[in-house]
Amino acid sequence: MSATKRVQQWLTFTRQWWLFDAKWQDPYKSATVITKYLKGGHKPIFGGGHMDCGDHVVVINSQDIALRGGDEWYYRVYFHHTGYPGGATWTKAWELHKIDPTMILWKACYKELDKNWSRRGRMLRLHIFKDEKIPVDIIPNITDQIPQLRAVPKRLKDYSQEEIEKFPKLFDFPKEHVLD
Amino acid sequence: MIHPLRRAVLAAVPFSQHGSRMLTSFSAVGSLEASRDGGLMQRMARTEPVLHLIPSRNIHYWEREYKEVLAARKKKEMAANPERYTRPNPRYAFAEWNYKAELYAFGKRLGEEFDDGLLREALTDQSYIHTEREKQEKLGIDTSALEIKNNQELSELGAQVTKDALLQFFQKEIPQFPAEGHNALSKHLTSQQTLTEIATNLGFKDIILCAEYPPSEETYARSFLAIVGALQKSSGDERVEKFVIDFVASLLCGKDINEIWDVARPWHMMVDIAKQKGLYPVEPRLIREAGRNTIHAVYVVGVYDKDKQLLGKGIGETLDIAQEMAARDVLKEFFKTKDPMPPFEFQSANFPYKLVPHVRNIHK
Repeated sequence: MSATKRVQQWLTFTRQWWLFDAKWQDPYKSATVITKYLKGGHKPIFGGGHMDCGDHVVVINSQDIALRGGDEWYYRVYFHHTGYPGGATWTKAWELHKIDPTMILWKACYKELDKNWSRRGRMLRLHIFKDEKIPVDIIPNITDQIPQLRAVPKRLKDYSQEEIEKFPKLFDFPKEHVLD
Repeated sequence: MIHPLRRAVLAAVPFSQHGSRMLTSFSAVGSLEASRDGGLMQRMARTEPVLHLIPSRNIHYWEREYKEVLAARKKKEMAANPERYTRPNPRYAFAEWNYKAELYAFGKRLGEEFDDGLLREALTDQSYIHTEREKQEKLGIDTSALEIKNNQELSELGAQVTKDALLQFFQKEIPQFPAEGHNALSKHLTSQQTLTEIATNLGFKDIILCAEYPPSEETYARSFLAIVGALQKSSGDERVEKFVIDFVASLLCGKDINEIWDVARPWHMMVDIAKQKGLYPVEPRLIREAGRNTIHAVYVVGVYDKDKQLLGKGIGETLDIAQEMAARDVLKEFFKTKDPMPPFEFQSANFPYKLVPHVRNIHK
């Protein structure tokens, strides 16, 4: 193999590092996107689940994930059995999230991946952090970011007083009107 | 499932004769009347039992051990006497081999007009003359009158002619490639290995007169070059150039010529050429990277000229390698040998048909 072909091969099968911000994102819908990158399904060389061309994904802000509306935090239950009689436990999502804020996203990705021996290796390339604090040796590895499924809307308190005053109004409240 | 032949036999034999003896031998069938089936049964009965014609898809368990022993014995014997089992079987050793006719046909197969004496001389190795002389001396024949010329002179002429033709071809096809590269390509194409490949594919194996069989790489190469020399003497320069382009230069098809000529210090060479072209100072810059803190790190370095225009890119697992590969990439750009290269034009200008009409030669 010539030098040119060798480095071309090296570049083709290199593992990239992707950043994903999980803030206000559905963990189960995010998992379908994240696992695509873990498997390498976004690459033109991808030829099936048996191919070892997956990338690394660094997920931040996992403590701010958003389960679906209503009371999913209360009705989604994680089952575990110790193997001994009476060893079954059912943990609700809000309890699990309290114990470890990275666990729900981890389990969602684990469930989404193909059920075979490549799953553990792929999960090792998933790095989940509960907030924006990432170890310093990971930051230089990152090459690009995966776009969020839903853009995080800006809250009223994030706007400055000047921006709020500039916003066009249809009418002014009377002076006697009590707002809050 | 009963085999159709056996079913026919069973139908023909009276029921009283069915039995174990029936299944292993057809001796009982011989006693049938010949008139009923035109003697077919009698003819079958003389041969092996029909049941044995049905092949078995398995090795029977009672035969297996025996067959294993036989196979092991054969393997052991083959390892002990390799020369007995890998004995060469030269075509020329066959009784009906007519060397004169073969030689004539060989010349015609190449599509060239050879002088018969020169063709024979080109295919005669020095070792053959030695062995012939020894044979005749053993028989008591005076060998002083034996006049056979070997192909040494012709091969020297052929080597020179081949090199000239190749360099002329490269000058026409890849003029931007440096002379050093032209020489390297020519050296590659006239190496023993390449010439052996050509000669074996042209059927030199049995037609070379030499002591050893099969001929060595050296003999193949010398004989091929001697054929070129013989053609030059027989048909002239124009034919021999076409012959070399057809049979030698065409081996570059599908090969990367940048791979054949290995530049020792690409960055230095690139800087020298950039100075000549007025692109200096050139600057390497990191344009992409991934996994810096891992063993899978990859860097992409670009080389920019004085006007900040990208000249070429290189990939590597370290910055040094990426920079060197970028220099190689720029050199390919300078030499107009970047992959994918347009194919070489092997046909001459006055060839009546355009074989590849859609190809545009960017070097002109």
